[in-house]
Amino acid sequence: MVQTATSTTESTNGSRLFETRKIAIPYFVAAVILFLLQIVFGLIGAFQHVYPLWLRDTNFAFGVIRQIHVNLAIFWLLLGIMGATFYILAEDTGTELYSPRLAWIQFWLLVAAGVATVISSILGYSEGREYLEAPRPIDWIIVVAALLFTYNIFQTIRRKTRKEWRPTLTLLVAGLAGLTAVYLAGMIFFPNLVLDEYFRWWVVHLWVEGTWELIAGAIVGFFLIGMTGIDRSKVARLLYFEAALVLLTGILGTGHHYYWIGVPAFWLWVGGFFSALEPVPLSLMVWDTRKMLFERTREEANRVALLFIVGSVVLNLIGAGMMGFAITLPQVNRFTHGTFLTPAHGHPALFGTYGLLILGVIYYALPEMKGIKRFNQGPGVTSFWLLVIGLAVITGALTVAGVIQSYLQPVMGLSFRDVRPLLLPYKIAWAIGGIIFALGALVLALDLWRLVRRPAVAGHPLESLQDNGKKAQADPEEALIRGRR
Amino acid sequence: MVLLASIVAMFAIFFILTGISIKNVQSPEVTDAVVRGKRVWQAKACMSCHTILGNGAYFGPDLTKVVDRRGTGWLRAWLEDPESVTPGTPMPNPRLSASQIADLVTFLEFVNGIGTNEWPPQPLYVSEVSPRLKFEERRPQHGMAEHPPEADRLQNPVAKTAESVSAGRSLYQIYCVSCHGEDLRGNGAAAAGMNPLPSDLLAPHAQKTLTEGGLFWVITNGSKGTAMPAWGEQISETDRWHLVNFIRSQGQ
Repeated sequence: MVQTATSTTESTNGSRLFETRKIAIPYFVAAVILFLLQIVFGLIGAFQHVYPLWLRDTNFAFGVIRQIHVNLAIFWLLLGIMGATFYILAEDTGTELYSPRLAWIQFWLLVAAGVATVISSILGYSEGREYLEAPRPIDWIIVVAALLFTYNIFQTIRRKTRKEWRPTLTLLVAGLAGLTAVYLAGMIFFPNLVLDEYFRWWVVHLWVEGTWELIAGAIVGFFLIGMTGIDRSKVARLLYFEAALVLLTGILGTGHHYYWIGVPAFWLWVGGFFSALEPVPLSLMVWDTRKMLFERTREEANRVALLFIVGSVVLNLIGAGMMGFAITLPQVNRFTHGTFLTPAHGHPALFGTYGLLILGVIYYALPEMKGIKRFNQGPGVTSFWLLVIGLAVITGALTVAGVIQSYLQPVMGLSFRDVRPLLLPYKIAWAIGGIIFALGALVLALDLWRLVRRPAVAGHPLESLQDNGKKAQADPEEALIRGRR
Repeated sequence: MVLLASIVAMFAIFFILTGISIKNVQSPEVTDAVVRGKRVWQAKACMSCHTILGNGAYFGPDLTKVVDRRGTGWLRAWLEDPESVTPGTPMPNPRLSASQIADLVTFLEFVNGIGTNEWPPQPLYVSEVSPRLKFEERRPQHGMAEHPPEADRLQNPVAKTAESVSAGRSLYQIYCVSCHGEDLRGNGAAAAGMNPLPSDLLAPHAQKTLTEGGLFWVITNGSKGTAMPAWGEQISETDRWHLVNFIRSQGQ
């Protein structure tokens, strides 16, 4: 359980502990299911890279597979972020969620949108712009869901009972409002491809390198404060400073997507300079995470959650910060743009930063809301390392392939077709990394399922979520001491 | 707070720079055909396999300069049936109509002309290994003549009998063989040094995409920008239809 410096409104066993937080669970379940589905499509895509003719003339050709893989990433992370927000909001406002009913409507809207996106891709309908492939009607569903979400969060915050204003609230509000606003920019049809690309990157960049970073910062901050027991006020200023740096570097850092799309060359200077600074706030986050861990005043029992969350901070720096920095300078990017070095950055950045974070939150929230204080953490830790090792293999393979490609194509002048066969070993390594990653996800899913089926302790929000109607146990530790179920 | 002011300033600068960018887009003119082509590009989700302006997926090559590399003729043949151009290609048949292909090619010509601040870069070295060298070098492609849409409405009044085909063959030997070759593939003796090369008359463009009326129109009026003359003055109307019948008979 999250223990904080001021715990006036939390209760111990036996009373309602912000019941409405349990609305996070369907979001988490959907997130994990879509995560697994994303991996399935990722594996198919990886095999297609190795055997390009596989499924070529079917509705599951590479183009379809890739679209679904990429869009599922967005959906499951979005669902996870929303679930995590619902989970932490009660704690920071001191009050229940304004409208669980709206949250349910929002949930089903997003699930429908996700399913519709997958089906429409298979049927051959697409908006055809990377990451924004969902057809326009689905875009609108997402906007409605986002607005419902913003409204719900807003109303909840307005009713907060805690006297102090916690920094996580600022970051959440700013992040979520920005997320919705910028998404709208991606819904316009531009006759000129140059402008199309310009505004498409508003969504993509200002999501993952902007608003999503704020939200992740809020969530990480929340959990680190709770897990280390460090005084919130000490951390608050740093949190604000890091968030400000993210925006200060990231807004004009959007320019690193504008080097070659047909806008004036001043973007090479502006984008290059500011995006080169984007790793600074990320380094700060690693540094202060480390500091908090070293100066902690309590031992967190849930080591799995801690591992995932700290892992996400570290991978934020490595995947987003370092791998991103490696390709951001225009002098370098001129040769690496459009090669495998881009996904070499993209995979660890997106999954490393946001995927690990969401999974960590789930690993924390599920037992906590069931009142389960101890559980066998072996599988969770195993899954973390399998995921990270798989990710490392993927990243390594793509990096090597990308470097070779960057050298042979733009530098040496070979054609794509000539270079492709030379990259086959790395595509095989990529697939192997994916398999290891998938294994980690499988272990994780099974482990979470096991936790779901554990009976909840009376008085906790998930008491009603019972396995086969078993009654809530007074003390779950009996089952734990016996180890496996 | 200073930080908040800085963030607001960043947004302001960003919006100003956006305005400047919009006013100084470095691209050719956006015509209706270009927009139609862009819609085809999006509907077919080409970006899910290819990169364009370096963005997209990494399954197929970047298409920013594909028009420079391959020429529009090759591109049209490719889009009609990739497998027939490169057997075993990973690219599925996009199943495009003739007008979609035309629009898509126009769109790609537009993209080819975007001022990308010199991206992709000129290779620092020129490779001896690959014959596909710098972007200025275009290997001559077999042309694909165009015609106005009215031409499609021309009806072939001459039945496709053995006599007609035979007459067409004789005419072909007189007027066409020097450029289009004995095997109709566009590699006749006179074709050397031509750019574009004479049409491959057995390719899908001449055999399937062109209507008979279109084919007739091209023989009559020639093909602008190529060495294909307008035969309308020299070959009678009936004879031109014999040629159409002959050419189509060879495609079976």
